[in-house]
Amino acid sequence: MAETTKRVLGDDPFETKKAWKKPPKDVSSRVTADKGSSAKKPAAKRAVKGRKTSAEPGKPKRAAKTAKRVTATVTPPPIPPLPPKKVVEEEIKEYFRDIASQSIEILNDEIKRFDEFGYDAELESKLEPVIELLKDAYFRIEIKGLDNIPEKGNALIVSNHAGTIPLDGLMLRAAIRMEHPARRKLRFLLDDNIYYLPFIGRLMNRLGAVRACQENGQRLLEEGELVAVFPEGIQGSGKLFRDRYRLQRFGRGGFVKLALRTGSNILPVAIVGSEETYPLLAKIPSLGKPLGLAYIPITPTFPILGPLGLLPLPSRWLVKIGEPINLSVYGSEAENDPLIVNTIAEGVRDNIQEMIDELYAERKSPFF
Amino acid sequence: MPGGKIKKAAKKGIGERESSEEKTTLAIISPASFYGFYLIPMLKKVKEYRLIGIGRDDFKNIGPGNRFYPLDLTQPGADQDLTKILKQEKARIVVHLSFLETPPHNASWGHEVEAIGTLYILNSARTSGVKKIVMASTTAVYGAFPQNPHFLSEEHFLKGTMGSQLFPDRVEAEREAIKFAGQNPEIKLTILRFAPVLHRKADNFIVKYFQLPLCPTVMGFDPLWQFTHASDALNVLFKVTTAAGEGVYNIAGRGVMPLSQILKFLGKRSILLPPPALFSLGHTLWAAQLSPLPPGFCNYLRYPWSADGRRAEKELGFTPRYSILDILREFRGDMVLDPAFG
Repeated sequence: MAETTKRVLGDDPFETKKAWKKPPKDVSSRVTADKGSSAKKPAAKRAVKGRKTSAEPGKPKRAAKTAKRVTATVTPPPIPPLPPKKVVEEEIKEYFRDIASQSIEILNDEIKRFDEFGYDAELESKLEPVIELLKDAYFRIEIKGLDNIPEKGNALIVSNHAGTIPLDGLMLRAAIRMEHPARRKLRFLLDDNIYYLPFIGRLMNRLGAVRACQENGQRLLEEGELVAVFPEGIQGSGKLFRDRYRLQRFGRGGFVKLALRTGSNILPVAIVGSEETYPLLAKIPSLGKPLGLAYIPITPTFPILGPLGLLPLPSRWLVKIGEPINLSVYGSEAENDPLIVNTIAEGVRDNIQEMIDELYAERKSPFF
Repeated sequence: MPGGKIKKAAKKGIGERESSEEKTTLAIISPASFYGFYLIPMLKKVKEYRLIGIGRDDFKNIGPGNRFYPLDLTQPGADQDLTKILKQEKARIVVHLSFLETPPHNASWGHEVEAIGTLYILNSARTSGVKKIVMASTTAVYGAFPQNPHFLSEEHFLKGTMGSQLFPDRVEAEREAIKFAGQNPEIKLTILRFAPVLHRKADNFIVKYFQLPLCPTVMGFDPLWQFTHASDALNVLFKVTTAAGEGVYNIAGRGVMPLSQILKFLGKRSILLPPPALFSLGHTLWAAQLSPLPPGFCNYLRYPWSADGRRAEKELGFTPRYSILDILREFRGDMVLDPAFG
């Protein structure tokens, strides 16, 4: 064991004795035993001290034994049984709590830039002017029903999905962040095929997207975040232009199970305008497979104008956030009942379809 | 007879027979490994334990009254020798640290050490009446796949790297251990899956990656990586060994960071490669034994493989003391966080 007193940067809490919660009982014997102690020693010693006092209450103090030579009249203690689980669990927790509370403040900085799902606050603030431009000047997003989004607490936004490179998650996030009074940050769940696209997927992840799976969604909702899902998935984003605004099948109802399990309200959202960003005239799956893509899209701009064709067309977006759907009446076992799950999923789908039709009728022209 | 025993105990050089009856004997397989090297001094201070080290590499300074047995688990007859040692010493706790943290070039030898070796240890433990087994594993056993959630929980199916050369034996060893624990409920098995310990002496595949002169990264991908600090890892190992704690736990430090940021922070030179180029380069260099990393490692540069440490927090009460920034700063050489690991 390294007995050298290597100085840790800053004030060493063990040296200044700030680390000791309770001062040791036998100061004299302890001082003689560990002069020039390294940081590890007190932790191990205290572990031993704690273990002794909880498991063997009647034994002679350790300090007494080490200070004097063992006399002939001391009987060796019997082999102690392994302590019952309950007692030891508490002891482990206390031990770690003590250690965690002794963490050195200078080094204890929280990671403010990256969060655990890969969101990069700095990149978002750098790209904010561009995103705001997209929202206000390019797509001219009009969002209604923002007061249906709670100021605090989790909620599951369910929306229709469109666009070969789906920008609806990003735009929804921008709209909520910039126009909602609480400036809530939306985490949207993206399907694998976009999430693992080499550069776009990574950019989306840094701007708040998370890979769509039950565990991720559950963890986010349990932490009280606002989460958006697009149940249509690639069926939705890969819709041909002639099928626009007709909702596809809503997956297997995974979003309903998520909402039931975490006790969050469902907020149906309809986005009109995202279909026209990439009007898909045709798609070729066989050419896409070798490149690892689901299909190669044919839009009015894409293969003709080359990579520039992948820029979205400037359609006008109308977004409506519907009334929250409270699922608490169903209880948490309802997630295992496929009938209830399907009924709720169909209900949400019909709700969103209604809102889409409403907004579509309201919109006079897609681009102006 | 009692008088004779006590008189012997009173002397400084205690005979093995007597001391093993007062203290609990703890067997450490592979004391010369990274975890063993730092765990033994911590255990030596606990007077209730008598340590025996069993391993291939010689380990000096195991302590007065403790004993080291040289034993190579890959040799034929090793299981009988191991059973003999454990029975003779009446070991009650076995800490199994005999794992290869870097994938070996000799795959069959690696299989012998990890998978077969673990089988020997488990069987010997059962026949010798061992009460508790602790195994140190790694979070790389989950494997990096596109379908992984951001935080893998302990129930997640262990896929390792599905046919590639990274940790297939560790996955097998864990599977054997868990099966064994199910069949022998009286033996308490704990498996700790550590996120890579970023310490220059740890010598695991992640440290080897950062020690490459040029760190390859995959074009367009930037996974979030996670580490454990050495002192956090050893604290948990020590506590789980000396107190009760049963089950499988993920142990990781606080926070994750994208790989590109880690490389920038550590000041490493990195090179962006498209996936096919990386695979073929990796294959070639691995086959020529010029690279310490097999081609299966490319997945770890693309897809998520971070572990969820909430079960350890809930059941063991373990919260890591150091965050990922602390760990990186220490690895970079800015400071020493824990002098014990300097």
